[in-house]
Amino acid sequence: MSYVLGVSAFYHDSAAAIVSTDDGEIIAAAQEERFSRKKHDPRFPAGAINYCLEEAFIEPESIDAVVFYDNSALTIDRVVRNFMSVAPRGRDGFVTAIRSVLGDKLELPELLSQTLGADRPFWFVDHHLSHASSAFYPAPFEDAAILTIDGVGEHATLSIGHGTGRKIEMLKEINYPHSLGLLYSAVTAYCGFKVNSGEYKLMGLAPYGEPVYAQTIEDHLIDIRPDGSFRLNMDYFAYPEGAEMTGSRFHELFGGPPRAQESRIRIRDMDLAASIQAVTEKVVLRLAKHAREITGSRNLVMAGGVALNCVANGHLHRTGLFDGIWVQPAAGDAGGALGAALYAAHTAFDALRPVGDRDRQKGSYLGPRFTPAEVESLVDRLGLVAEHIPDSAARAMRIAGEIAEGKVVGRLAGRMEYGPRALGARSILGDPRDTKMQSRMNLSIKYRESFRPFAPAIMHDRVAEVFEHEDESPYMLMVAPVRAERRLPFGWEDFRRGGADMLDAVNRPRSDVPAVTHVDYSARLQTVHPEDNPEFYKLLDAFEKLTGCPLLINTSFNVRGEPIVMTPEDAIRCFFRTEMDILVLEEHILFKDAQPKQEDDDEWRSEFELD
Amino acid sequence: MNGDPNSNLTSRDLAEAIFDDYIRPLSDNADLKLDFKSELFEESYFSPARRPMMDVATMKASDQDTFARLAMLWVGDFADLQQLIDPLEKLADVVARERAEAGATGDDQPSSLIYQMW
Repeated sequence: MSYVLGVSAFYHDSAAAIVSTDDGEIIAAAQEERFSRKKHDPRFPAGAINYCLEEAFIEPESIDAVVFYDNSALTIDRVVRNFMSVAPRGRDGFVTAIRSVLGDKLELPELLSQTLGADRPFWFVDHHLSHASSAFYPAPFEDAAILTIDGVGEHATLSIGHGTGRKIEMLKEINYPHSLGLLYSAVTAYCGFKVNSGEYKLMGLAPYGEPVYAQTIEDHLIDIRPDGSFRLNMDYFAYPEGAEMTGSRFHELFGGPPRAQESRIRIRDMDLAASIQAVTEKVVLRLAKHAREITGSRNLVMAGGVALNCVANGHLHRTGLFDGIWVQPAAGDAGGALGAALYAAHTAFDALRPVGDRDRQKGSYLGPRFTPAEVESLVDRLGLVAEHIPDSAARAMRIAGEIAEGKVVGRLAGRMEYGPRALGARSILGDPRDTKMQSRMNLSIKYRESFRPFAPAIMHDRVAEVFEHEDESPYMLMVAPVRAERRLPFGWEDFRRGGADMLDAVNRPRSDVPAVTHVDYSARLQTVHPEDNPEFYKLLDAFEKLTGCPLLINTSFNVRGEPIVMTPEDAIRCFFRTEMDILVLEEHILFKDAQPKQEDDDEWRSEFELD
Repeated sequence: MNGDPNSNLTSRDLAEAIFDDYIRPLSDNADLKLDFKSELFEESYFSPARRPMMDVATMKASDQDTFARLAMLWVGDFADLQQLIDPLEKLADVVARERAEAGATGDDQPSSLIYQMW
């Protein structure tokens, strides 16, 4: 058997993936941040590459080709053209950008040779073709329209393509600086969140606001055509000059300077979040309709950072425009590594592409795993106290019982997830029925903003009992409403009249599963199927048997600014730094109150830069 | 262009020369200055996916050549850019010298062309 190694690096979320050239099977994939412990790490993914080789259990000579996820020459061309277009402004941004791009990418072949200890053929695949491949090849469709949307690749900021069998044809694109992703990022920055990480927060903030600025955005910032194509009014944006996303006209348009990071969130920020969300959904829907028209396909696959907008995805799903929608769970740049590898495997090496009822992403559990023996050795070495329950059904019942009594559980089990979402393998779990659980988990365990919602993980065959959704959503990439009969009145007018106190809003019950019900009664679903993750399904089943509730809160196992934990060591460190009650490491269960006293470690919060 | 910081050229002279030699020709060709909501109605802002993909047949046959070609392009770009960056850095030296000679502080409002430009 031979393999292709895919690599993404030097922008954000570096990653590596390895696939078989026989049938395109995804052997392994992981983001470098999990190894380096630096969130969104853009550096060369040596740790992830080494892991991929270990998982495949091969020597570098078995790799037929290494494929990079974008065409660096075109990227440089875009950077040069961009800065020349804004000259004489933007000198500092230009020098920084060009030196970074040139310096890093010039060394890529050498870095690969050093890491692999061998020279292998080294190829490039266009950025949006990598995204398109990551979306199409693992999807359970023989034929699909492909929509990729992000900030920017080389020149393209979005593309429409058509996948059939093993072939992908790229059809249309929109080029920089006109970018839906960068428009969303500009509003993200203006509302006081970090670009390339705060977009998810802005999406979570949107339900607190009203889209009162949507028309203003369309009148001044973006001209949307009926086919979904658009052009931005660059008079309002500063990103071509390098340092800032928005310019003075943008600030005047919305009544003042950007919100300072970490300052109080105002109604204006909430309304802007709601407004840009509405505009984004409008564009995505039109693009999807156009993609269907020009491809004739009844299926849609998506990737690119904007495809992580699960609210827009859910909206698109509910239109019924497509029979099937599949979104690559590593939709951002990390997924480019997988896409580049898959493209080469299926086209250069004619790898087969079997299409079945379920996708080929393996639940996105594509990262490292650890054995119970490794855990036991670590627990012994650290002098910790653990209960070992080898029987999975008994273990599930024990954990479910603790969660039902209000305990918060960190869980490391099986292979780590590929992509930004924790899907049960590196997750913090809690009882969704508890009205105080959302603020407790946000403030005492995750140490993050109180307004941020939590997602439910639910047994796939019980989803329609709780949510207005019947299909699978295995990767937390679809938002759906809680069923009407389970909702409780929220009191919107009080919220806005009372100064929009978000902590108060979070603590108001909104349904009989309040901790996973957002203020607009929506929820970011993860449906769990026993074929993807039998152990996690068993845990949900045990919780249901104890409580009648077939879902749990599922949030990523980390604190704010920290990459999701990868190893048992990472998990133990995070466990002791937070108010988590219980830690599950494969077959071992650690109770916080049974552990020897740990040394005070007050300095750890400075270890992670706030996201 | 004479970029020697020890020459008698002022920062204004240097800035104008840099702009004329390096920036104006490129910015005149830039295709990024597009009108927003142009009076000419455009039904669509899509472009065809017009760039040649890194064709697999090409990759298979000549992956080494492909990289060599890209590397040459990088180096070529780098050389061009270095031509621009070097004068800019010399310019910064001249500006610093002028400011020192004038007894200027960092709080002074820029007045010369160079400050307006960069």
